[in-house]
Parts: sequence; C-alpha cells; structure tokens
Amino acid sequence: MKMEEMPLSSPDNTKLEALMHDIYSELVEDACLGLCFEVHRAVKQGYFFLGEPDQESMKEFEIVDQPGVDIFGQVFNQWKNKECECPNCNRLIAASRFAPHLEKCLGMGRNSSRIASRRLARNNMSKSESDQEDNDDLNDNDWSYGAEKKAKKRRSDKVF
Amino acid sequence: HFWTDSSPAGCSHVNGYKVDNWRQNLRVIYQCFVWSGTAETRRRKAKSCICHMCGAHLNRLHSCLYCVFFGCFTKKHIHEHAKNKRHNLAIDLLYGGIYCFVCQDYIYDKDMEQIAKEEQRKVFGLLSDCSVSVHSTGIGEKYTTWEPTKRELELFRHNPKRRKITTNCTIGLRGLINLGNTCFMNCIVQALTHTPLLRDFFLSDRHKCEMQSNSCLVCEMSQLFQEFYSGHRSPHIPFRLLHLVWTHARHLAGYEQQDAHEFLIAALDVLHRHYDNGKKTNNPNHCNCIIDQIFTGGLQSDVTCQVCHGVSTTIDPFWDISLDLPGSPTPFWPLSPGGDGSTVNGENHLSGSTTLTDCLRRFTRPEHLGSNAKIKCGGCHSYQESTKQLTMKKLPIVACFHLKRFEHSAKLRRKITTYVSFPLELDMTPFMASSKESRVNGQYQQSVDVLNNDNKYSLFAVVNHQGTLESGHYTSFIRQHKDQWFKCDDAIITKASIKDVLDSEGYLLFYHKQFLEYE
Repeated sequence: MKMEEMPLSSPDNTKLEALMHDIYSELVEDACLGLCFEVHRAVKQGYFFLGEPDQESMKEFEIVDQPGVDIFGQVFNQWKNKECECPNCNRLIAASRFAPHLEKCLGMGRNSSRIASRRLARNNMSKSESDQEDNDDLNDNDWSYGAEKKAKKRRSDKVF
Repeated sequence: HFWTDSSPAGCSHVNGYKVDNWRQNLRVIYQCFVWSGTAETRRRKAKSCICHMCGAHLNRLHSCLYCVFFGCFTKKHIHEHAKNKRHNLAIDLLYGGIYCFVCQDYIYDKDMEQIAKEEQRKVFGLLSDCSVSVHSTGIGEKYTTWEPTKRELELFRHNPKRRKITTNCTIGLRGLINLGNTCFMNCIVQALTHTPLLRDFFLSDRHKCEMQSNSCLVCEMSQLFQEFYSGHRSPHIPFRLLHLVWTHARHLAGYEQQDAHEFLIAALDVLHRHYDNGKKTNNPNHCNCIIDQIFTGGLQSDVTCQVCHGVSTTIDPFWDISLDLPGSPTPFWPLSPGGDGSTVNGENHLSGSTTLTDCLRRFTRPEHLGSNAKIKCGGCHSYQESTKQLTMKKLPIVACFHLKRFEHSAKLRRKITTYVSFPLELDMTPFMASSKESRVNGQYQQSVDVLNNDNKYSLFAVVNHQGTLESGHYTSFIRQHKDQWFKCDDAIITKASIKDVLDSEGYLLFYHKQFLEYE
C-alpha cells in the first residue's frame, strides 16, 4: 500500500493501527538488522573473537561466597602491616594509624593545638616536668576514646 | 597467521566498479539515498526510494551501484536486476553496506568504507563541507566504534588473556584500609565508586586536569576508580584521599569521631570546586560539573499567607535530603491524615514501623508557622501567619537521603535507633512540586501512571552506623550488577542478601534514577 494513498483522517481505526504496526515492525527489524551487520562485519574483518571470554581469567576473578573469607577468598584481618608515606612529612606511617598522625602533622584538631600550646609552655619548664609531659604526648598517639580515658586516669593517679 | 595486503573482507569484484569517477558517484549515492542529512534529501529519499519492480519502500531496499535502479532485497528484485544487467554490486540504503552478487555476501572494501564514513560524518555535522548544508538533527554520532588495526589484531591473537567484567566478577570491588577511625570515609568512597554515572564518567577518562599541583581531588577520584578496577585483591589504602580532603576541607579534621554524612557533603563540595580546575565559575548556580549533573536537585519552598492566600516560592539547590525521625525532639506524628501510605512504595510495613515514605511525607507536609513566626506578606503588605511547604522541584539523578539519627542539641547527644524501613524501588512522584495539587488533606491521591518513569528510583547503596554516639562503626552495602549486593566493612568485602540490606538500620540511603533522559 503506497503511503500517499493512506487517508489518515479516516475514522477507521483499524487502518491506522495496521499502519502503525507496519512501521513499528519495520523499526524493530531495522534494529535487529543493524546488529546482524555488526556481527557479520566483525566476523569477516576477523575481530569477532575479541569478545570471547578467557576461561582462566574468569576463574581468577570469580566471586567467592564462603564463610570466613571475603569475595576474593582471602581470610579476614590479615592486613595488619600496611604502611604508607605521609604526603606532608614523607615519613613512613602504619596505615591504621595514619589518620591520627595526619591530624597532628597538618596541625589541625584539638589534640594538636593542645600539644602545640603545651610545647610552647614546656620551653619554660624544668627537665623533670617536661619528662612527664612527654609521657602524656605518647598517650596521645592512641586516637580513640578508650585510650584517652586511660591517660586521664593515669594522670590523676600521679603523686606530685 | 599473517594478513596479506588485500583484505579478505573485501573482494576482487569491486575492481570493475572502481574506474573513472567512481568515488564521486559513490559519494552522491551516500549523500542522497543513504545518509540523508538535510530535510531536502530526506524528502527526496522518502519519495524516490521505492522498488522499481513492486513499488515497496520497505523490504530492505538496495540501490544498484552501476545504474539508477532501486530494488527490494527481501523479494529478490535487486537480485533479478543484478542477474539481468550483470550489475554485480548493490548498496543497502539503510546501513550503507555493499553487497556483491558474485560473492553472495556483503563485502567490506577499505576505499569504499572510507567514503561511507566520510559522508556519514559530514551529515552529522563534523566535517565542514560547503556544498552540503547540514541541519543538526541531534542524532549525533560523535564517536565511532573502536576497531582494532591489523597489528593490534595480531597482538590480540598472540595474547589471549582477557579481563571481562561479568556478573560473577570481583573487578570493580575492593576493600579499603581503615586509617584510624576512618570507616566513615570508606563507606562514602564505596558509595561513590558504585554510583553508575560517576563510574562511567571517570572510566571514560573525562577529567582533563589543568591544576598545577598534585592536589586535585577529582584526579584522586579518578585514580580511585583505577584502583577499584585494577583487579587487585588486597585492600586499597586511601591515605592520599584523606590528606586531600582534609587539606581542602579543614573544618572536617579535628573531630574524633566523624560523621559520614558530613564527609559526603564536604567531599562533593571539594570535587565540585576542583572540577573547573580551581577556576571560579561566574555563576555557582550554573555549574555543569559532573557532581552537579548527578547530585544536584532543586527544593521548592512555598510560603502561603493565611489571609490573602498569596504564595511566595523559592527554589534552592540540594545534594541530599535530611529527614527527621520519630523520637527526635520535634514531633513526628501526627502525620497528615490518611494513615499508612505504605502501598505507595511497597515497603516492608510491619505495623507501627516507620517507612522512608512516612519520613518523606512528613518532610513535604504543609507546616503551619505559628503566630511567633509571622511572614511579611507581599500581597497584604503586613505580617501575617502562614503555612510553609517543601516539595521537590527538580530531582537529582542520584538522591541521597540522610536519616537524622544523631542528635547534637545543647541538652543531649544521642543516637536515634528507630528502625525505618526503606524500599528497593522508590517513586518520588507524590513528593514533587507538581503533585501538590493532587493532595487532599495531605494524602496523595495516587492515580497510578505506570507509563511515567521519570520519578522512579532504585536503591544502590546504604551506609549504616552500628554502636553508640561515642563509639561506633560505619559499614555499607553496595549494589553491583543489578541485583548483587555486597557488604563493605573497611577491608572486608563479602556477599550480602537483599534481605540483609533492607533489614539494616539505614543512615544514608542512595537512590539512582532508573531511567535517564537525553538532554
């Protein structure tokens, strides 16, 4: 049926529907044809094999779903000894303690300002007093509430 | 396996065609009958491209290369012509492929394909050709599919190892070392690296950095994606990321226990600032960086004067929506009347438990501002009581919901552990500014419009906090490959079930738009 001959203003809906159906089928067919051409070309030009999976690699990266190991098949908690180089001071720091180190290294945070102001005061102190201050500084390396409480407790036990 | 110079994909039968002015002839055929770029050529194609034998204009029409003849392929009319006239080449008018009747197959000749490609690019407005006036039809094909060269093919044949990302593949997943109470950061990193649009942006190398120093956070983000897709099994140490975020968002560092939500906003802010390579954009509201494209939505605030009913509207950008929970100092109930709206989003509605939809309904309810908070009304020219209502004007592609579980008022600091159930799929239509009229007494009269997909979202990441305000731990669930979920606990990544995810407490919920429209 020639397109120019279709009276679109026709009250007959079935004709319109048939036309719509034809156009739709054609569009779907065209899309499928496009895919066929892509594959045909890939085969003829010789690069179709590139899409093939490599069984060995697929096994290597397969997700593991077993108790006690992560998706890579690794046991939990084996990453204790990781280290990293601080971008600020270039020292090698244990990864699990990098954050508290960085906080002090960059001079931010309330801990750092407390230490800094104490260091300034220390210059006017005697040696024995500054030794005690050093102990407190060491305790500040443990950046968690638990350790802080311990340090506070220790200080109150001191006999001056 | 050595390739000879004459490509096996071509054929020798084209040699009879490649004489005299064949290039120009072929160009004309492509311009007029295959890649019709102008309204004029399209009209001509529609009118003249019909089969000379049966009059059909469908049926895989082909044009003879040697003479003016159109014939359909399906009914073999072009084949008949080829046999009768001994014209052995024809071109498919839909995709421009060349068919050889002697070989009885489509052939790929390098010279002819070169012409086809050039003509196609001209139509899409990429090459300037004065003789062809091109309308930008918007169906741009700026990028062509990659094809290996002969040398590359050789290399591929000799190196058969491939890394293909399938549904059962660990590539894209990686643990993150805790740098000392940095689980809050690790969870946000997991959510961001599993945001599909962000991943696609960085993996297609779209960030071209012009920053002088090494301190571009966008570059670091790009590097993070490389780490996640490297195939490495050992967890990544995000120390450079922490350093960059803290140096660019100094207000963050200095709290012992940091908030994941606060980190998210700060990280998005730094990425947004760095996107333009540190250059200040003239209008911060019209930034088109990838962060804004993905995360920025518009929140509409309507203040209605109770006397003259005049409405004053403002729209503010947002990156996340913070929702109050029952148990917070401001009363959660009574909600707008209408009982449970759980059928709107199909959430687990155990009787009595709060849903995300409840929280959103509360967030978008009209609120009567009391006599202490009178607004100056432009219509009445005096201070009047009013109601205020928040609705979504523009939804972001990624919607992040922040359940306000941490209370830091002057009197007390505590964590609200009320269970809030949230759905896998969320329809934001009831909370849109455009849906306001459909509310009767605050209850959305839902006329289910199944075909409207604009406001449908899918959950793809959940950040959870376990423990108390003083000592707690953040973990996250992320979605990979449509229906696979994984639990990320710093360095440990394990498979999780959808039930694990939906039963979890929920602190930050990340939803991604299901359907994306072209701009």
